[in-house]
Amino acid sequence: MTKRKNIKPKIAIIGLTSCEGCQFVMLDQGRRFLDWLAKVQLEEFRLVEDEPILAEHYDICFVEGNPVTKANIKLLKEMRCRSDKLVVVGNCAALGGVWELKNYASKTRAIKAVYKKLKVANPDIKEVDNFVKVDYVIPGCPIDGDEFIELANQLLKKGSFRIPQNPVCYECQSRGYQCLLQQEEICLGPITLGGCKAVCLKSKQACWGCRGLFDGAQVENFMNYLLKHFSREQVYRIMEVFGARDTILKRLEEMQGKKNRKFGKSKVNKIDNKIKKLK
Amino acid sequence: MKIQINHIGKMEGHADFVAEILKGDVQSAKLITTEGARLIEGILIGRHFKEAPIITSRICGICPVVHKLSSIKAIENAFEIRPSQQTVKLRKLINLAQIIHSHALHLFFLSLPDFFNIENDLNFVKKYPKETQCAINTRQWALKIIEVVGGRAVHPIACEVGGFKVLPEKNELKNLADQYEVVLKNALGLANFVISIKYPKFSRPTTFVSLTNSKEYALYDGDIKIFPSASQSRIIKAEKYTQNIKEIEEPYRAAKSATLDGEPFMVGALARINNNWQQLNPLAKGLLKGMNWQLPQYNTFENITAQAIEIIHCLEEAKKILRDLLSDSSSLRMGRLGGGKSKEDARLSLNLIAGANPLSCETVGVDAIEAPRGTLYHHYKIDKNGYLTNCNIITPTVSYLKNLEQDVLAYIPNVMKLNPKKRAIKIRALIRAYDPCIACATH
Repeated sequence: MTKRKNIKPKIAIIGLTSCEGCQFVMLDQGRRFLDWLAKVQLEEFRLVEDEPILAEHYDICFVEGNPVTKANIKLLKEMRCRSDKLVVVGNCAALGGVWELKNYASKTRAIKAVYKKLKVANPDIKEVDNFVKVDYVIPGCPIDGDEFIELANQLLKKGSFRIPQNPVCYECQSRGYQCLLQQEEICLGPITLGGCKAVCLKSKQACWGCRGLFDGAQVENFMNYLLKHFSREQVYRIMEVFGARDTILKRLEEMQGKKNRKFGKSKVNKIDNKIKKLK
Repeated sequence: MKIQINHIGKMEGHADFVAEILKGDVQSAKLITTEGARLIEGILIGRHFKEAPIITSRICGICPVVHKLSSIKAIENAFEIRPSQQTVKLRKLINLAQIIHSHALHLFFLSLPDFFNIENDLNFVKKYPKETQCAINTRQWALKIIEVVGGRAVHPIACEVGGFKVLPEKNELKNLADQYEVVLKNALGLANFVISIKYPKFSRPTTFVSLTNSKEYALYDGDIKIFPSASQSRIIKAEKYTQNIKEIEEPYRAAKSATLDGEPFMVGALARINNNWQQLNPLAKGLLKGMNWQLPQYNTFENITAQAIEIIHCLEEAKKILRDLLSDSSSLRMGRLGGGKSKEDARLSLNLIAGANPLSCETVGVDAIEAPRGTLYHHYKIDKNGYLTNCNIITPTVSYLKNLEQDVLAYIPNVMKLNPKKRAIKIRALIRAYDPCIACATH
């Protein structure tokens, strides 16, 4: 019995600055989550235990939230050093979270609206992969419970996972939900990574891209389409709410860059102008 | 001498505790929040009103429903619009479910192990499998309600200003209603377990604040009832809350705290029961009577018992609403504003969906709702085009933070003789009995 215990992988689940909703999605799986926990040696999860004593080594560390305070950054780097695999969980860690909105407006205005005297950390919000190497991402705001259990099990079994690279539209259509793009709403479903069962579309809420882009997303075509039907400001506002705007524009630039090499110079100038306009 | 407890676990968000003791007298007790500030009120400025409920629900992963509802209600108050009866019922239903699942989580997984000298929940779960199942079953039912009505348990989607984007199917509501008796049995199992525990003796008179409402045990709306220890209780209008309740900044934490007329005050399950216990549903009232409390109850450890009683009350209330929604055999109707009959109502609805401010002028809206941990306020100023120009949110944990510190200050002498480890366990237990949500407090 003790021998079997020893081979259980050592797990940490840590939270940086966030609403902790993704950790509650895990707990909300109830019995399923407890069953998963039985397969691992849970070394660090402050929602179930006091007195954190960091272990020397973890097989997998799940990181939820965004590094906002110095202590957040220190803990994140410390956990990276001690962990074989680092998995970021949720939109805050992967894309910045809704608080990244202040990057797009004014962070000085944001803090002045909240505090009169107090000085608190007010950095630009940056995704976890700006601080440490990230091995895997479980996306979403919040994460999907079924997907978490599935991916967490795959991690234990195979040591890795890959989310099928399909857009949200794929699940939206297969479930027969109404297409909101066709109803003249801005919906980022065509370029956003699926796996969420198109849960927002089920409630007739357009996709605002909380899970980030999938590999192979036709970002340029889609942007062209959106800008034909909506103002740039409208499109950007929607992309900003879940911190996706910077990622989408970066991917667009990369795609344009590749094209430049392929098509020669006249095309380059055209695309450059387009990017300038988008910015 | 200093008592320092770093990284208090098993609560929402991050905090440390420090007390300074000079010659046997406790000089100060501070809960130092270490959560990063997300500046939610700041980032809302310049955002459109339709985004506000989506953004503010991200304040808290355990009570997103109340943030969403309060945000929606504040905007509706600003626009002077009233949702349909059916919309209000559905909202009340998910608010009840929110309180049930938050309380069940806090009681069983965060607080109770403290009174069994078990530090790790997983050991607690192993030792009490039957009670664990009661807690899980109760929670899962409540989560399912939010999923069915709101579209998702954490950060629900379907509710919006004016009503719901989509409505639940009647058969889904019926399934939930059919499970009621079994869930109630589980919840009573949990509640009786909670009630059977002997909590530490402690008492410190304070002022209890909660919503109150002549029609029912106030959770979804009402006026503010202030119940001081030394004088008669009084009632003020919710939108006038700023006259008495003030937020203050303190140098040792990013979370603000609040005072009522300059004094600490208590909100949450214990405050609600002390203020409005006469309106509890029969089973819940029966549990309370069985406790033989002398009311008001000033032992904050009993906040845990109060939460258990509220779980039963909320279940009974949810049953009433489900029965009511199911009494009519036709399916639910898309809840239109007013009564949805006049042309004016239809025009208003369409405008709202398009994102227009129906008043076409700058307007202010305030809402107060009972969140699991106490009264929550959302307060917005909206410009003529529907964009937020100012915003204030006071969460329950902000409200009771000073009261919590006063309680610990008064409690420390009771545990001074214990060794540091045992003393820390006792102090943590009192802090956790409040069910603090530091993520909410810092927002």
